[in-house]
Amino acid sequence: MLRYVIRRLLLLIPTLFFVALITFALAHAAPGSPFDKNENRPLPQSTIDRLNRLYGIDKPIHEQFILYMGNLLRLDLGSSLVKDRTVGEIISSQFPVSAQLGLQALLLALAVSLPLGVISALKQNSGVDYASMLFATIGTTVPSFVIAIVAIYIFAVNLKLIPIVGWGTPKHMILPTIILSLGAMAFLTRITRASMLEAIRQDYVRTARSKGLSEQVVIVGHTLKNAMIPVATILGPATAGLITGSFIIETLFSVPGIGREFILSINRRDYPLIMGVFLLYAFLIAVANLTVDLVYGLIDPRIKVAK
Amino acid sequence: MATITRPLSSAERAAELNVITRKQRSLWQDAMYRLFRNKAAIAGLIVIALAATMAILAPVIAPYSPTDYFTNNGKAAPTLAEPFWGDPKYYDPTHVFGTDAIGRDILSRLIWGARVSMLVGFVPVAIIFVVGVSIGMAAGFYGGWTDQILMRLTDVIYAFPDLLFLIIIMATVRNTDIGNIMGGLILMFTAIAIVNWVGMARLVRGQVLSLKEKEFIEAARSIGVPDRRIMIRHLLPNSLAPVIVAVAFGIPSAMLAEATLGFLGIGIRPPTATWGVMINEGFQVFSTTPWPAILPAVFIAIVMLAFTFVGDGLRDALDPRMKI
Amino acid sequence: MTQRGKAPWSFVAPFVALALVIGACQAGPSTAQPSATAAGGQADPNGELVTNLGSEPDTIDPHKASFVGEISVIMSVFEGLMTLDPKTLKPVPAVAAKEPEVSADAKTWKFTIRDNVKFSDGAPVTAADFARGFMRTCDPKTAGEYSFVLYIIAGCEAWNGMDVKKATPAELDAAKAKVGIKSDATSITFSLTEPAGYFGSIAYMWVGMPVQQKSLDTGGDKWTEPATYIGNGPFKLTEWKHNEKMVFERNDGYWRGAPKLKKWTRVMINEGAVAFAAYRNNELDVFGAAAEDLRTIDSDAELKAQAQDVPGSCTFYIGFNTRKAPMDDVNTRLAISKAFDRNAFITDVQKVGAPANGGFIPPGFPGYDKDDSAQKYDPAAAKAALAKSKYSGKPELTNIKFTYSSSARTKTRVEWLQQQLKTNIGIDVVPDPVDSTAYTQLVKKPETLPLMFILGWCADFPHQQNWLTTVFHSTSLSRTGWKNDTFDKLTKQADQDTNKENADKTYQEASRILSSEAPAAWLYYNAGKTLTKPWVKGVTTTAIDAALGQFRLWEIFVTKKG
Repeated sequence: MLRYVIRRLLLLIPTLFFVALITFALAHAAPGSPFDKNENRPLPQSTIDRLNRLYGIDKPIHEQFILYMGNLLRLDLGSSLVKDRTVGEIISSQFPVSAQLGLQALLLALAVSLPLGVISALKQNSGVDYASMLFATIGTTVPSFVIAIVAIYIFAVNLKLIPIVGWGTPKHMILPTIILSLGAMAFLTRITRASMLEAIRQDYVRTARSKGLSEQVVIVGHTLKNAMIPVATILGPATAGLITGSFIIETLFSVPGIGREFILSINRRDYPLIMGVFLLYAFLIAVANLTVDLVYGLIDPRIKVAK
Repeated sequence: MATITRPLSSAERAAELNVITRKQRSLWQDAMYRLFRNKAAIAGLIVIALAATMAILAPVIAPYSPTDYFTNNGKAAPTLAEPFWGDPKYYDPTHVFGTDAIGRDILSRLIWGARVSMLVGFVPVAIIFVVGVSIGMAAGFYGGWTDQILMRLTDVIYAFPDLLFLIIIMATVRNTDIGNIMGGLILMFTAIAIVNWVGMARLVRGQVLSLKEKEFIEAARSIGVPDRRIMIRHLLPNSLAPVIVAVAFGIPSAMLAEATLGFLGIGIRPPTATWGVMINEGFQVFSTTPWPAILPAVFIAIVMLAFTFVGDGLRDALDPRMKI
Repeated sequence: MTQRGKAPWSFVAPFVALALVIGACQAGPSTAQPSATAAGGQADPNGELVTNLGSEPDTIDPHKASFVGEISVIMSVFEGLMTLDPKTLKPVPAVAAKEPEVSADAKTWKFTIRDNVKFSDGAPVTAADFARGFMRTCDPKTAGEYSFVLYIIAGCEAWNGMDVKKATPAELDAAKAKVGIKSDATSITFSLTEPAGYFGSIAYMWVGMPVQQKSLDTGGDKWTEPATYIGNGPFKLTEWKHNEKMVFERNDGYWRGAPKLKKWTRVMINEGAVAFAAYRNNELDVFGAAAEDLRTIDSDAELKAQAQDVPGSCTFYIGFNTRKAPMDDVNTRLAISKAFDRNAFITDVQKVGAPANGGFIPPGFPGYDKDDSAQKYDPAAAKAALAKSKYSGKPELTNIKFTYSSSARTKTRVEWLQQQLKTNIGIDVVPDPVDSTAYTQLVKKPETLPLMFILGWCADFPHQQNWLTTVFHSTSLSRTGWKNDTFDKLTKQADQDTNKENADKTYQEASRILSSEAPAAWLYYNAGKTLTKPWVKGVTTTAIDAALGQFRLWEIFVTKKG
């Protein structure tokens, strides 16, 4: 087991290296300099050259990359080219907000989807089932920014129920959290229902029933645990998805998270920030996947992870 | 929405393999029969057919050009005219769905936008299908270095949050000459294909790996059937069911990607009308009138729902036991 | 100063930027009219104000900043040697005790410092603090974007341009010692490379804000955080939640007396539509409307009463490549510049803005020349000018490429102009959309300069020098390839003239030459509509500054809401 974990962690190194290489190449492929901001008030070319030189972005790209990787090994993500802060500072002040938003959304998604999925499976083809499946289909289909725009229009502009500006109080967080969680909620509902249906039909459930065990004991004691296995496996990616996928919600609701910062940094050619955020995301996703694989091995003894 | 395009974990991929290694229904007719009994899937197919017709006939049925904003007397068209159900004070009967912030006819833009959505839905998925199936088949069948490279590539591409990967490709390359071809359509196709082909390849590889140990393949081999023929005649048809389901779900997620990128302002170039770009532009005015943003949003939602229904129907039809 | 679009992902294009800047920065009325809401009402001693800053400032270091939002933060926390008179936008003493003493050759400027000005931590503001500020801007290690404004100071350019990685400390010190900034106990003296009558206007700018050594030492790279970001202006920064908000409180020790506003919060909302919703929700007290919002404002009596037209600091124009046929003939250029109806352009297409019926310099700025009629809309005169062009009837006058930075909005503008030229003088121009990044590169280089293109200029500081010399003098930024010896001579002469009246006259002469030689056809002056809640009073804004003005901030107050 330990060897397996170590091997997976080692494999992470080349993966992150290629992620860095690809991102670096892409970021630098974009024409224009970070200091080439506005054609209506162009900086004098001498100023642009001076700043490029100062930040070392006048060097050949491969040299810049080697330099970057060297710093990365010392865990130095560099300084933002356009902001007065280091990438480390920006990430450490903005990422917790995204993480909080993502985790809140995850908890909400679980709190709704697990009961909903189980109930629809138990009452298959009932009205409840159809309603929850309709919700699940719409939730996985309709883009979150569409829901967000409509929600802002209804709740903030027309009904004036919630504030638009700011972050930190429950009133501010409720809409972004709900809207961010909808996709995951819908998807988890589908998974829960499907695996619950699968579990109910197993032979051992039939055996348990025929032994005369009460329905409650059968459901809770026998089926739920097995039904949760597929759900557990997608929790990792779902968490990573919620944390890395909140950038549109952050932008629309002016949430001071890292996603909004990242979108801004791409358009402004802030190479170190683009790189830093991407590496963070890649790392998170890798860790999430690894965790799930390990957990999967623990809860389902049939799967041997340490092959 | 993050979960739709989220990368699959390896465990989940294993789960997927579990599903698809179950015995396939041999009769395609059986599947078709089940599909056509599914009312939601039929409704979805009808909506898709309508949208496709709209896309194909756009030049004929759209009342105006999607990029024109001039009326004949050389004056700019009324901006932000309301649709026919909106505030009559701002309704202009020549534009039934109203006009956008610079006076373009929204109905015409919606119709032309169907074109881009359909293209972005189908073309990249076609590329993904061809590339993913060929490479996945080769990797699964021959193993060895092809397989090793595929698996390592998958690791790298899965390490990117895929929507963000798309964003960075679009944002950086769209301002180069490549990004300019056909207003950015080609770049959009390529970017979506690059980000998504490995998923398809992995899927096919998994199928092939389990199939190639089966007796009928061994039998074919033992009587000297050439590799290429085994792949095309035996492996391909037998691994097609999950591939079809993946394609059916790939189309709406490609459309969603276009809409998201368009909404972020890094999709297809203006003035081309796409639903995503329309939502972006409509959002700028939504506190004046919500319709320029809501109408394309509704169109996207309906078409994506239709594809999802069809996808669900296909999955149920091809593998009735896995009902997600 | 540079204005940034509020939509983070819009690559700033001239018109896109214009439509968008207004959210991040509201420019004020030309002649300093205390706004309509100024009169009446009792100041709430605990009054709070909430405005939108747009996106998070990249930096609020006065010696590095360049964007409108950043500058508006700096101008509320610091005050320079000079400030601008909101009525005329001419420099008047602020922390300087009196008008600067200028040597006969106009190359040495001496400012005496007021002795009662303190930083918000109580430390007195000295000449050395100002010298430190100016020197920091020139310091190559600071990496400031606006240092070029100070290149008029002897030695600043040489020092600033040094490669800090290659130069030895001794070389850097030697260059630093040559910079013409000297301070003593009560005064600071600047030696300039050449006479500059406009130096008083530069002395108001953020690049010369005073800073204490203590702040820099304690704060280091992070001295712009609230603990060490200590200025001498009407407000102090008390909280900065990155990407969320900045909170300012009044500086009770401000030398003009404590400001009337207790607290001023600036939130960061990128999306204009969201900011508008927030304004209507009473979460923002001020909002800069975009063209899209006009219908809502017009149809809502309450909003309409809160709206006010405010001119901006930019002029947009159609540039001509004067090196290439047919634009090398002044008659072609003049014909085009007289062939479109600027008033109709505003009502039909632009919606927000003012027609450029006048010269290059927009209303509200020193040097605005409303009687400059060289490019007045006149189809008959335009046709006559075209007939005089040596290309009249020649193929050069057909299919002229009109290059622009592609966006839906710019497209409408260019197509409107295309139609006007076709109708009024029968010239066919071909719209040629180019991606904004590529466009920036195209217009930068003489070899790739398009035949016809759209550009704008936004002022750094309100002085004719920053318009005429900086943009159209043949040795400076000029994008059109136009060179006129008389214009060059007149602008240089005026730049060096310390007699303001004489200089104004010379500039006007130069400006008229510019219009009648038409290397560019003036299109429109940018402007905006600002919505202000009725409880916000005492606002004085000008054409050069951002939200709520920069020059009378201490007078702003709010009455009790409701």
